Amino acid sequence: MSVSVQFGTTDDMPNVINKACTLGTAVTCELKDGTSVESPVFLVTSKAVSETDTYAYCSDLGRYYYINDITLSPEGCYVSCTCDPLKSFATQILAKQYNVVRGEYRDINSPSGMLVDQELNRLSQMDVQTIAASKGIDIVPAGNTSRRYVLIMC
Amino acid sequence: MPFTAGYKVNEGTQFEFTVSNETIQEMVQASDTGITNSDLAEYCYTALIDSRVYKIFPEMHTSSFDSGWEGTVASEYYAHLAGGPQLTTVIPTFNKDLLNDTDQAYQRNFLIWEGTIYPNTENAKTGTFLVMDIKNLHNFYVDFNNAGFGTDSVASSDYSQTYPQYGWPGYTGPVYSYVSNSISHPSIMTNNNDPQLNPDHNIFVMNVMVFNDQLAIAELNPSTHGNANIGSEGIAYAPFSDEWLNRGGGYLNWNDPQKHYQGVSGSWGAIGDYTNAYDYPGAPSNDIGALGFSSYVPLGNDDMLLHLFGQWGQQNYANSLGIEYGGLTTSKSTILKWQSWCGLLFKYEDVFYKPIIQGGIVVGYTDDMDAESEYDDMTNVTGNNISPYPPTPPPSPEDDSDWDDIPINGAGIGGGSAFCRFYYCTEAELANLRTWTMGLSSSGDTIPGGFDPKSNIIGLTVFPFTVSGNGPTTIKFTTNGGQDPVTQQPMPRVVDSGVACEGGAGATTRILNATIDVPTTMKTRGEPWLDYESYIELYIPMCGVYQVDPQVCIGRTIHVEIYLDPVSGTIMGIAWVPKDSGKCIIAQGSGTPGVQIPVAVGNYGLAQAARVQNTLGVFGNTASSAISNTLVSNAFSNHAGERGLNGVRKITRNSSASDRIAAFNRSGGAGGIASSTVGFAGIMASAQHWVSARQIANSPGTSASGGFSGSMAEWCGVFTPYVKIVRPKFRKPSNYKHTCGEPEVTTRGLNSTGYAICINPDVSGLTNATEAERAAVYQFLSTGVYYK
Repeated sequence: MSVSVQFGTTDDMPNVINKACTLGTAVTCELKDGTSVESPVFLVTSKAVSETDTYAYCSDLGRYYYINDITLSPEGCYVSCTCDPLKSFATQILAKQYNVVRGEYRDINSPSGMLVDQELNRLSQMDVQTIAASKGIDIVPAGNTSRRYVLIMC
Repeated sequence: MPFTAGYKVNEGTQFEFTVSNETIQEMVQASDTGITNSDLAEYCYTALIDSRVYKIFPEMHTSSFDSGWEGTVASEYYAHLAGGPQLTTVIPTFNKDLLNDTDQAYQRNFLIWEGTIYPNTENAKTGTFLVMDIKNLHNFYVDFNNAGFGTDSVASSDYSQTYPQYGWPGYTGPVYSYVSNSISHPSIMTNNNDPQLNPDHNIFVMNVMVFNDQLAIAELNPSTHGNANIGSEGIAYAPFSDEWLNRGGGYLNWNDPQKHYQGVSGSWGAIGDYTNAYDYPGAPSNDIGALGFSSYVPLGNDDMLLHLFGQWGQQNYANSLGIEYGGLTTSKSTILKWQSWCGLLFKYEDVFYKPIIQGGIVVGYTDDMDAESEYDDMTNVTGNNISPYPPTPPPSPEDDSDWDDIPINGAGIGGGSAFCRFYYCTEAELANLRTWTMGLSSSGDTIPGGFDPKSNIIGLTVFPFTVSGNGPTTIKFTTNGGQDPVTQQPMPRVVDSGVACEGGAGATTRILNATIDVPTTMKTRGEPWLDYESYIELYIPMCGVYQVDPQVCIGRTIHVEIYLDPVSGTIMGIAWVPKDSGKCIIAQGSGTPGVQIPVAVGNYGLAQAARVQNTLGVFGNTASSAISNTLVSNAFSNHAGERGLNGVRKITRNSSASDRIAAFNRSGGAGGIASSTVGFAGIMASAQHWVSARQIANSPGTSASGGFSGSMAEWCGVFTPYVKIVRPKFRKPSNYKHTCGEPEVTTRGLNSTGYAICINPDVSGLTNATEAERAAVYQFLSTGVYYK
């Protein structure tokens, strides 16, 4: 079975949905017998793939793939791949709404800003602050002429 | 740990140089007229320039040597001439040069900041901003005409108020730049931060001006406008109209007219009738907001900017030694090279630098984001005075429910019954009363014979504070109206002592009404919930320490009221927190500051008998028996034999042998009279003391008994309420948000920049995905994904 595959590279981490990748021109490859769409093996007879390629896109299978290994043989190069589901189904993933429990850009002035971060590392040292009141009781020193005696009489 | 930015951060940095003896000698030899203060100042200039300290101190523009570091130099120099130590002067420096090749930068209160202002608001703006610490901005000039400074900013037409501090509440227009300082708060241009309503929120942007790169940075050409030495008397204030270039970089024209940009007309006009530099708005010694433009028409935004800038217009200046300094940059690209010493993270040539802050002081910079720095305590904050988060109201405690107004009974409660009277006295008034009770008043005896005034006294309490009554009165006594045993006449029912004091009802009275503002500090660090994880101790004077709920107190004001019960000598302290029209009582307790002083009647019957016997001249065993059973206060016995008597009034100090007996007794010969300090309690305890018949006769029968109740030691404590707040501190790496995220509870898509972790992600709809691929997507979303 022949499929069209573009080989290239990506430098993004696997958990990036919209990975940036550099892909070459689409070439026609043969699928190795018994391969799967999740982990296909492409037989490339041209020089369209190099040993530095790490990423691939197969339009016929509708998936992006990580290149696991490239095996050289007299027939050509056998390129073993594993599907990248995030990139392959990015459109569908991004079209949906999710309950996000941690995010990079939360608004601290929103209710989310008041959520306790259980993963935050706290210091054993605490911050201590003292704040005096706007005023205190005016103490009268001894011998002062202020009225500080209360005489109770019948 | 209060963190300061801008020049304050650098305040601890010192630049030290020494004028050596040899240098002084050289200066003396080179001078025809001897070393002057100017010579020394020039030397300081040179040293500063050589040391690449480009900041121009306001003091350097002072023509007077009477103050500032120049004065220090001068005084030390003269001290040295007088045989003192080598002249050494330490001058604080505010701007260290981090990038050695940016020799054109002299004003370091800038940085480039990448972030979002007002995020998640209608005015959110993400981009690269030039941040300026305008509070410390001196000697700087912006040409508003050429730069179009106001473009994309608030137009003058949006600003119709006379004074900026009263303008712009409710402004809803775009915010592409904003300006603020601690005086006018004019920059707050969002609905949610009306400076009049939420002045404290402006702390986010105090003294900070932010431009984004859509704004053209002014043409900073001092050769066409401005003058560096605005702080110097007589120095021109505004454009020179290229005259400077024509002078060839020589000396300043001290007679240049002072001008001021008028925003309405868009022209430069005379600045007014300021007679010296110190009157100029923004002069170093002047309060920017206090003077200046009141006599001008409202000048709008441009004027506001000028107003905030204070003095402006730096240019090359060669001192008398021919050393040039200044060299102001003229382009935005150069400004972008300027790095900040504001304690802020900054980016230069694609490398981020983090300030190494120790003890609140910036001691260096590093591009290693994992390096230890107190900066990490301020996650989400790029400095004390600016935050990537907008000056919006901080989160409030999650007490959405209303608070009822819980009434506090307060003052005016209780009091003595109609059978009691309350007199609030000073010590002098009490002394007057004592004098009167002993019949020693200069106004003459008014005490009926046989009547003991102290029998009226129920209690005497002293407090460490003033107790206010209802108004002036005199202390009055009541008798039983019986027969005076001496005069054989009926006693008056009411005896007015004539001793002035204040009367009162004995009702409760408020003696303290204080407030304590409990700040939310973590909001500026991006972790406001930590404020509520603190614990707060509240101290109410004489009542004790109470642990109060941060949930109730954080961000609010604690009211502390203390009420006094003058009857019992106790107080009631109540602390409460208001919200809207309601309040929450957070602490309530009592204390006993009042100390009871023992004043009470003794064995009046025996005293009276002794008096009668003495009057009749029967002096012997009977009298001695009476004496031996009488309790006498030394306070009264010290005087009883010397002055007039009550009840038995005809005996004088020289008229009988009893005087001599009394004198003997006072000296301790007859069993001793209680010393003044043994006092009432001691007499009460023994109940047996020898006194003279004369003392008894002279005494109106009063005595004291009982003991002190209460403790004056309590008065030695703290009489000001306070709170102690213990907050947790945290530390997280600078990329924490990017790698770990922060808690949020939202339902949203992932097509916004950043990292996100989802809970139970819905992976339906991936129509072409296999089950294994769905599971993989589920796993990714559950553990965290990025959308770039």
